[in-house]
Amino acid sequence: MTLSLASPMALEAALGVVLLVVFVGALLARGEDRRGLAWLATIGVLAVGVLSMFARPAGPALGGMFVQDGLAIFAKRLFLTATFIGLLAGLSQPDRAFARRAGEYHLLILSSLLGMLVLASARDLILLFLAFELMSIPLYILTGFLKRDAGAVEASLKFFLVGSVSSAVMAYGLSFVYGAARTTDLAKIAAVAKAGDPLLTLGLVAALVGIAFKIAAFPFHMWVPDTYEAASTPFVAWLSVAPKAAGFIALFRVYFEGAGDRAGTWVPIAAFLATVTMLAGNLMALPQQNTKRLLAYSGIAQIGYMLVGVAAASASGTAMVLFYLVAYVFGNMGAFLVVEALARAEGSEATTAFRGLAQRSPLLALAMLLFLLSLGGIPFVAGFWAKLYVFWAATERGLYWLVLLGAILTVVALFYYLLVAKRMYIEAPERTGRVPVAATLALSVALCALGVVVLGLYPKAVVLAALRVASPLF
Amino acid sequence: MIPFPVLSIITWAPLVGAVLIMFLARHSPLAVRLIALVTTSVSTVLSVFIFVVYDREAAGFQFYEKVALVPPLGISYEIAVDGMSLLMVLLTSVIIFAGVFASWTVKERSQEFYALLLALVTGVYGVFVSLDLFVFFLFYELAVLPMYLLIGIWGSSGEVRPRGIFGWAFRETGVGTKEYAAMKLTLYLLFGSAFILVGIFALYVSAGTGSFSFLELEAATFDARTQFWVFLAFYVGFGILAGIWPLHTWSPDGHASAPTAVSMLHAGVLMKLGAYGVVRVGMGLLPDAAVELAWLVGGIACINVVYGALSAMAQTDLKYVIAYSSVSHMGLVMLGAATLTEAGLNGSVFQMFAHGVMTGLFFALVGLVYEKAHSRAIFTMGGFGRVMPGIATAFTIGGLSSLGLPATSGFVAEILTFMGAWRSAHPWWLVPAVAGTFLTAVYVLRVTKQIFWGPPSPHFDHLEDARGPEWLALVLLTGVIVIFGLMPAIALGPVDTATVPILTRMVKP
Amino acid sequence: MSLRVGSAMVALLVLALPFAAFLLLALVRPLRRSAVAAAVTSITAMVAAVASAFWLSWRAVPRVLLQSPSTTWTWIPADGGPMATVGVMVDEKSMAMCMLVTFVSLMVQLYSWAYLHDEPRTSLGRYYAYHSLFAFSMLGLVLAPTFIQMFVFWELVGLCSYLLIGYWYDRPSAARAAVKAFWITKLGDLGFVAGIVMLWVAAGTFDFWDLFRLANAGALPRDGMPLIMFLIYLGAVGKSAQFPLHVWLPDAMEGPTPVSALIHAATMVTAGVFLVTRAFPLFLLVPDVLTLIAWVGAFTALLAASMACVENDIKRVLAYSTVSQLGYMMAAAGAQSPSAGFNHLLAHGVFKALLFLGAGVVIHIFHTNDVFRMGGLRTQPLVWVPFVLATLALAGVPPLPGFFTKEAILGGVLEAHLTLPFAMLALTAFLTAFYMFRVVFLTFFRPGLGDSHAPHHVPALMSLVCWTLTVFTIASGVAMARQVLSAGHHDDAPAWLPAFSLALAGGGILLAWLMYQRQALDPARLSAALAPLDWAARRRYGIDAVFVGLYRFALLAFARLVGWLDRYVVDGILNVLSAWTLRAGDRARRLQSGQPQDYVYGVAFGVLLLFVLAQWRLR
Repeated sequence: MTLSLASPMALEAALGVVLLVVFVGALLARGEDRRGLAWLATIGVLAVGVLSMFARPAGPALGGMFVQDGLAIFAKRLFLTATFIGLLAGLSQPDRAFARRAGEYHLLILSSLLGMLVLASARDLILLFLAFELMSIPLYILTGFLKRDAGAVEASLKFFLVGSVSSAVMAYGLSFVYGAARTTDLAKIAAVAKAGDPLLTLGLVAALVGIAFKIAAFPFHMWVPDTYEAASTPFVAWLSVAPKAAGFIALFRVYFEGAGDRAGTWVPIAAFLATVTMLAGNLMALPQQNTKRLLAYSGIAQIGYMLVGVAAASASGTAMVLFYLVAYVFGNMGAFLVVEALARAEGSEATTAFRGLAQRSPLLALAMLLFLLSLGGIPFVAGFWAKLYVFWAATERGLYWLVLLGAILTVVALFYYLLVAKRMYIEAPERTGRVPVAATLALSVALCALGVVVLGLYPKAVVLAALRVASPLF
Repeated sequence: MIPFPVLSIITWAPLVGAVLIMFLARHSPLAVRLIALVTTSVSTVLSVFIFVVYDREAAGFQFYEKVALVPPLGISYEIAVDGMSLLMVLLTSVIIFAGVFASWTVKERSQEFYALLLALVTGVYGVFVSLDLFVFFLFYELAVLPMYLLIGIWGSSGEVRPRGIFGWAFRETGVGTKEYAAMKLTLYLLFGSAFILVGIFALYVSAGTGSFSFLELEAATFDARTQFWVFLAFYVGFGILAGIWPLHTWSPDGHASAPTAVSMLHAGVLMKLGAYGVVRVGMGLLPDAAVELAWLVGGIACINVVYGALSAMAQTDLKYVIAYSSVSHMGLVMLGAATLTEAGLNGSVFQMFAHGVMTGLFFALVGLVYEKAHSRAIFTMGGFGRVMPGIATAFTIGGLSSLGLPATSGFVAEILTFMGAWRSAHPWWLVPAVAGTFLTAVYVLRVTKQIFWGPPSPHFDHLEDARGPEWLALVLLTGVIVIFGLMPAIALGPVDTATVPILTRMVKP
Repeated sequence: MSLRVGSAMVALLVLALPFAAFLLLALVRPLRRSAVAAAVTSITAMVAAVASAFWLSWRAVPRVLLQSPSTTWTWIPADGGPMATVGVMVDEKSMAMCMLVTFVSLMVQLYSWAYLHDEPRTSLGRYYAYHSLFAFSMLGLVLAPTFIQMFVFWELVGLCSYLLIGYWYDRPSAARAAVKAFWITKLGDLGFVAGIVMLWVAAGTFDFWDLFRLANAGALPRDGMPLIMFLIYLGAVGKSAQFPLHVWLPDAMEGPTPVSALIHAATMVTAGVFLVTRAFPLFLLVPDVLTLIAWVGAFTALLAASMACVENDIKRVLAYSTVSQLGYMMAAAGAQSPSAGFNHLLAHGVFKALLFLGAGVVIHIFHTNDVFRMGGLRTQPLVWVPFVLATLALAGVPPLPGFFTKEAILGGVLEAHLTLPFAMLALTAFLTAFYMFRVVFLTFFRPGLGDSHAPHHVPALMSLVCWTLTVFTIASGVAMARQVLSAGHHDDAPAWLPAFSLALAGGGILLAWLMYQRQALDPARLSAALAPLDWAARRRYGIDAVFVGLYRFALLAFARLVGWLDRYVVDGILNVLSAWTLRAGDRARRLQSGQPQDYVYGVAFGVLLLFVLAQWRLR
């Protein structure tokens, strides 16, 4: 075990094993209910996650295409955590399709996850692009997984259409990069980048489109609301965090590691993207009545805040984005999962479903409140430190105006978060009795809440870790 | 000198109480109140204790505690009190202690009510004691947020008729409802905190000491431009909470809609928190900018004084009258600070205390009157003096303090402010300040006469005077008003030790 | 030195006694609720206070002041020495005032017990508590060694007056009068407080003694002083009911009669005169202000006297006469003979209190204030002698005190070459004699309603108090007479002055007798002859109307305007901003058309943006 752990690709290998097992299981499985496979996948991911805790940085493999550095490990732990929570929450989905076709469902998720893991370690444009697609394509299918649901199919079609366009632009850009640098190795590109070849810059800008699409920065965000609204909530919860985190890792790899000491050149672009994304996300979230759409837009705004950290284009900035991602994973997934729990009980995803939740099941309401506050950036929950840290990083870069804008927009954000809080705490319940929540779902919500609170009270460890892994990039 | 972390206990005791209430006191209102009472009295007793044992000779920051939170970023839990924060801590204790009694009769969801209230109080204490700007900000946010639920759930809606060219906006935002007031107050204050945050970061970056500690930033020096902009940011940020014109409009609606204890705490303590921020962080860290921008701070303050008093005179809702009087008095607070003189600054800090207690008393009384008469419309009431002499007396004392009658704490604060104003670089500030006291006399006595004097109407015969725990609140607050009015030295002694160093760091133009 | 400290302690005792009584009554509920206990507490304290005050002034007043007569303690600390001090100042002035205040207070408190006998027992406690508080405040005022302490107690006596005018607070008229009194006097106090603050900035101290030393040394800034002293004088204008702030005093008669006697005749209203007298060394620096004081005082005296002539409410007549006499005192101070004014103050304090208490007796008999519904008391000297004696004193008939003090004042004004003020004061003296005897004849001697229900029972306590005061009036008058005779007529005043002032008094009395006793002259004809004057005087020269107008149509209207602006413009703008934000969100949402092609356009647009930006910024 320890031997294979030492090797850089241990986690990918382990995940591959899980993937195989599930695949074989799917072939062998009989009968209507194949939730066993779901459990198998979940436990498998958990196992890999546990494994990842023992992973240590190792030297490059595949001739430097693949590195298992601190950043990669940090990211992989994050992906695995998110995926585990997502799968756990998904176990109890009522829809028969999930029971009957659990095999495909989990195979797709696992392969996408595999894509992420590889992406985190990819230090070569080819491998990076491959991993990127490996991560993305299953998502299109998963979005339309409930094929009887017209909305879901339509959403997945849009998602695929726009996704492929942006991938195309990305590939185009990468080819420019190759043309300019005569190599696909990021380390070498960094060396070339010092010269500041316009073609290279052009290529990188084009490649940015693909990543911007993945992390859903404005104006590449348009797939998000429809997709989130249509797809099944546990999947959306996962979709809203894991691929985005992966996108950011790719961003760091290409634009910071790949730019060497010219990382600073990206400040204006990142700042611009941050501005428009924060603005658009927060403003569009204001009038939303459907909680999933609300969270979709608020998620876009959150991406904007992370881009503020990116705009710092510094080790601290990167670290703070990593911390933000961790906080975001717990906060955002948690919020979605509460929506799922409520939707199952009330059959409605509108914010009105939250009426008087505090008096029906206080704990669920409290959890939701915590998630909302974390997203809003309020003290003693993770989000507060996350926002403060990215702002702090940005001020170090001298981007006071951006910080001020972001801080003011948090007020707008709180407006719609508090509206949900108002439904839960101020308004009277429409019906009495506590909301029934499936054990696994409750457990995943509890995990998220725990994460939010612990990070809120004791951010030190994660911050230090993030700083440690981010510093080598610069 | 004290073997145990007294400030931490003062600060966190209420939060502990909140947690206990949430988990232990389900469905037992009495237990809720008792827990709240015990935890707040712990804080109160200890803050009186530190007020007594604070070494006036040594002065400076005392009862120092420090725990590193995030070393690489220079964030640490660093708390201590000097003469100024000492008084503010005492004020907080007095108000919350009275507030617990004043809201003894809260029926619906009292468990959550007290929990949120206590959480809020921890935030307030934290702001006053924390020396690390980052932690300061953290507590600041904590002190603001619970307001939303406190007002939203237990508040009361008013009636505002959409009028004027902006009527449509009133309709769209739902002016007058408690939800509107709660949202307005919370968001407005957080909007202010955005500026504070930027200011803090700017200081951190330009100081380059890699620390958020107040003491280290105090040692650092900042160039004129940084000082100017950062001071402006702090002024706007804290000023919103201090209710400076024209950013004050959250306060009347918020205070009028809030439940009694919350109004007491908010008008009594949280607004002071804004003024305290301007003095402690703004003037303390940016002396040159303070001198440079004194004209602005003082000028706006003058508007506050007169404008607030006139608006108060125009109100027909008792709670709005009190709320606007806070706007006016916060003007006096800011004015005293802006004079940049020993007298003025002492007056400002003393006014924070005096007005805090006084307005706390007012809101407690309004709460009682409302609870008994079920009306806040001044001109429907009359002749209450017969049926509730106790409340009438307390209201009169509060009113006299607010119009700056000698032998109440209000007078000392005002005379010091006047002295500072005439000695300052802008002597004309004396005029609006003095005019303000007259306007206050007009609206306060007008209201007192309307409500408590005149023939008792049969419609209100059944009302009775304050009872049990309510009495405790009234007696405590009136007592403090009079005692500090007769013997201001007990408060001004320590305050002076804190204000003089701030002033000595300023280069007079 | 030791003498000074000792006398300071006694002075503090004088101060402490009524305060202790007040605290007891305020805090101990049972004591307050039982009338007897309250009265006993308050009166015992007053007795002790009187004793110690008299003892103190008898043995311990330094005639020549070599060192400061004040003993002070820090009140407001500051870095470089105290910012404000409080204490006691024991000199002739303060001692004289102490005696007057304590003595009259005691008399009035005794009198009140009988006069307010029909009051609900429970509220009498409140009454006596207020009285003790007032005694304390007034003593603190007269003993004040610093401007700030004087202001503190200055405001406190104002508070007591407010509370006692509004003692019957459920009478709307009383409530209105109380608030009016507070507001009008507060107007003057604004000037006072501003003045002392400016003085503090200029001189660096509030302490009288230090200020006097600075003034004598010429160390005070010349240019600032006129404004400062004028502002301080404004305080006196309000408190001592000088024109135009005199309007509150007549309405203050809504309070119980003993209160009017004590506060609105004998003591509080004279605080303004005392202020000017006390701070006279400072006023000496600003002769223009002094002249102004003299003119305003004389004018006030005449104005008030003219209004008193047409007033039918006995208490209001007395109120106007008080205003008029205060004008006298102020004029004296303005004419740089403050001691004359001060003596008049002391003498007036006693006999005006007596007048009010006497009026209280007749009101007690007739249950009305209207002099035309009284009369026919000739048969009861016990009732009318004190009042008539006091009236003679006020009219200025020797050997009663009023004669000497008034004459001194007239002399002083004449010396200062203030001819017109002198004329006004002379006319006032005539009018005073006239309207006072108008009241006397109408109330007591005119055959009328009185006869029906004679003999009237007057509570023993009330007449006892009245007679005590009468004795004091005569005694003081005699004392003054002997002083004058021994000292010979003081040289500087013209020799014809005594005769002149006596003639004025006699003329007034004669006219009143002809009109109201003899009915030889028909009042109606006279008023017809002076129709415009009569008309104006009956309407108080419209001065009250001006104040009401300012309050209603200037202050309140402006306030409403500001309130409206705040609600609908200042707050309105905020609401507009938030409404706009919400609308912006709604607009932005429309971008989300749901059409795939739009999404692709979005991406394309984004690509374009990025390229443009790259071209623009990344060079």
